[in-house]
Amino acid sequence: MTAVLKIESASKSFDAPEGGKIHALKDVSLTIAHNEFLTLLGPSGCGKTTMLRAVSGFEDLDAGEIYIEGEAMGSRPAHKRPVNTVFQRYALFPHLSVARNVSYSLEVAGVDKAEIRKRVGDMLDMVGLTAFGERRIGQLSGGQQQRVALARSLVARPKVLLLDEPLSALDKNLRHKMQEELKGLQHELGITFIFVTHDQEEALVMSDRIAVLEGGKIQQLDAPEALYRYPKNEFVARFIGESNLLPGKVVATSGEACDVQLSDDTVLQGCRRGDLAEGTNVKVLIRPESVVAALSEGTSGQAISGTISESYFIGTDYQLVVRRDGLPPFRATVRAHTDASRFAAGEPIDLFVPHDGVHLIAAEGAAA
Amino acid sequence: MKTRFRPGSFFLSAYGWLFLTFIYVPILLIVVFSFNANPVNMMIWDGFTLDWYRTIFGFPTTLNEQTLYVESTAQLYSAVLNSLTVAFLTTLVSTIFGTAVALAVARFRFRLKSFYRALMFMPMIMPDIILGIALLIFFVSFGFSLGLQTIVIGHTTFLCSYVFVVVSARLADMDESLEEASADLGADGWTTFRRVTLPMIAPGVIGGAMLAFIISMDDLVITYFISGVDSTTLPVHIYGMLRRGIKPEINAIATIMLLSSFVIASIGLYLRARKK
Ligand SMILES: Nc1ncnc2c1ncn2[C@@H]1O[C@H](COP(=O)(O)OP(=O)(O)O)[C@@H](O)[C@H]1O
Ligand SMILES: [Mg+2]
Repeated sequence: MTAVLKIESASKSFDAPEGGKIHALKDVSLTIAHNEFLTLLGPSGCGKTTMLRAVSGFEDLDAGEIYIEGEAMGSRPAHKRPVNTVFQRYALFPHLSVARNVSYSLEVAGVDKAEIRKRVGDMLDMVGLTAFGERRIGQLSGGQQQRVALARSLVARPKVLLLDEPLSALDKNLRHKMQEELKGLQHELGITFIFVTHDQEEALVMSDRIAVLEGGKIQQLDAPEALYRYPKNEFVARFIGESNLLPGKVVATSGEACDVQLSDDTVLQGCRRGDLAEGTNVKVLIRPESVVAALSEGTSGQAISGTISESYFIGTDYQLVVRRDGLPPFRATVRAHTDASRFAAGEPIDLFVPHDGVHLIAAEGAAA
Repeated sequence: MKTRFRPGSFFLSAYGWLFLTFIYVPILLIVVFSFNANPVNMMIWDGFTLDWYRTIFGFPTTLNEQTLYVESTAQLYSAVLNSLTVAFLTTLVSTIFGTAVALAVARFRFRLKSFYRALMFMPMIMPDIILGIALLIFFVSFGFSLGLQTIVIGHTTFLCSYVFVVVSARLADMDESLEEASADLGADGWTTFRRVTLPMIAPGVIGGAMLAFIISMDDLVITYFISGVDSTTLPVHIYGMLRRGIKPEINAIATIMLLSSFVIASIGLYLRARKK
C-alpha cells in the first residue's frame, strides 16, 4: 500500500482572543494509505478540524508539510487540491437544487453537459436520492442533506475525502444507518476517507485505524482493537471504552510476563508490553467486561475481592461497582444469570482477572 | 396568539391609528389636491380635474394662462431627465463600490478594520447641509466645474454608505462556510463570487441599489449646493417653484413621484419575497 497522504511535523497555532497562543497542532506526523478509513478521534477543541483544514488548504501550517500522492502542497490554495470535504453543517448551497449542488464541482471544472448529467445521476442513485434531483435544499430532511453533501463531495472522485463530524447532527438510529452506508460507499468507491468524530464508539465501528488526538498531539495511532486493548497512555485508556485504572508498581518481570502490585498489596500477573523495568510505577488497566465473577466455590486464578456497593441490571449484564480497601472503586460488567441475589449491593464478590486482561501503562511522569 | 380586549389595549391601538393618520394624511391631502380644480385656493374643493397633470405633460388645458405656474414644460422635463441620469449613474457606481467594501470588511482581516467600518457609517449621520458645503468647497478648490458630474460624485460619496450597510447586513446572515465549500469543490475566487456569494447577497444588493436610487432622486440639500446652473434636478426645480408660492401643479408632480417611489419599492419587496 502506498501513501496517499502524508503529514510531516505539522504545527499550527492561533492567537488566542485573550492574548497568548493556542497550539492547535503540535508537530503532528501521519501517513495514510490508499483506500484507508482513518478516523481522527478526540474531545472537542483537540485540533481535529484544524488538521482537516490544513489538508484541504483553508489553514496554512506554521511548520511542516503536507504531501498528497507525493506532491508537496505548500500553500497551494484550497481549490487546487485534490481533496473534498463534507462539512460539519453540510454547507449546501441553498440557492441551488439538489442536482446542481451535486454537479457544482463538475460544472466548475468544465466537464461537458452530458457527462455531468450521467455522473450526477449515478451519484444520486448511489446515495439513494434518485428522485430528489430537482428539490431545493430547504425541502430535505437532515439525513437527506447529509447524503447530498456526500454526493457533492464524491462526484469529482477526490483522492481523499475529509469528513468533519458528518454524523453528529443526526439522531441515533439514522446515525447507525449512515455509519454503515458510509463504510459501504468507501469500500465501493475505493477513496481514502479521513473521518473526524468525538464519538469513540463511532470511531471503533468504522475505522481501519484511529488517531487519538488531544491537545494538538496524536496520542496514539492504531487499529481499533489494538487501541482498545493496549492503550499507550492514561488519556487513551480513559477516552476509549470503560476503564479501571489502578495505581500499581512492577514487582517482578520474567520474559513476557510481569507481576504488578496494586495499592492494596494484591499482586496480579499481566503481559508485558514495552520495557517496564522492576520498580516502575504503573497504571493497571482492567476493562470492566474482562473480569469474570466466580460461579462456584473453588474457581481459581488471580482475583480482586471486594464488596458490591452498587448494582445495575442492564439486560444481558449486571454493572457493578465493587469496593475494596486500598483500591479506587472498581467497575465490573458481569453476565446476568439466574442466581441474581449474588449481585445485590452489599454482597461480597471475587472478580477473576485473566492475564491478558491486565494491561500496564507507564504512570505519567515516570520515565518510560 | 390573540389577546382579549382590555382598556389598555384600546388606547394602545387608538394611539397606533393616530400615529398612522399623522403620517399619511398630509400625503393623502397632496394626492387629493392634485385633482382639485380650484386654481386659487387649493384648500377649497372646486371639483375634479386632470388639468394639473395635463399642464405638467404640456397638454392643452381649460385653465387660463395666469393660473399656471409651469412656464415651460421643457424645464421640468430637463429636471426630470437630470434627476434620472444622476440617480442611474449614482446607483450604478455606489452599488458596485458599496458592495465591494462590504465584502472586503466582511471577508478579510486587515488593520484598522473597525475604524474603516465606522468611516463608512459617517456619511449617513453627517448633516446633509455640512456634506453639501464640504463637497462644494472641495469641488471649487479642486477646480471642478459644477454640473451633473459633480452631483453624481457627491451623491456617490454618501450613497456608497447606504449600500454598504444594506449589503453588510445580508452578508452577516450568510454562512461563510458556503464560500469554503465552493473553494473546496474547485472553484476559484471569482467563480465562487459569481456562483455563490452574489446569488446569496443579491436581495441585499438589489435592496441597496433601490435605496440609493430613491435617495438620489429625492435629495435636495446636498444637490442644491453642488449642482450647476444648467444641471437642475427635480427636487431643486420643485424647490425653485415653491419659492414663488405653492401651486397645484406641484401636487401633481408630487403625486407622480410618490407613485414612482411606490412602484420601485414594490418591485424591491417583490424580488426579496421571491428570493426566499
Ligand atoms: N481561527 C481560529 N482562531 C483562534 N483559535 C482557533 C481558530 N480555529 C481553532 N482555534 C482553536 O484551536 C483549537 C483546536 O480547534 P479545532 O481544530 O476546531 O478543534 P476540534 O475540531 O477538535 O474541536 C481550539 O482550542 C480552538 O479554539
Ligand atoms: Mg471541529
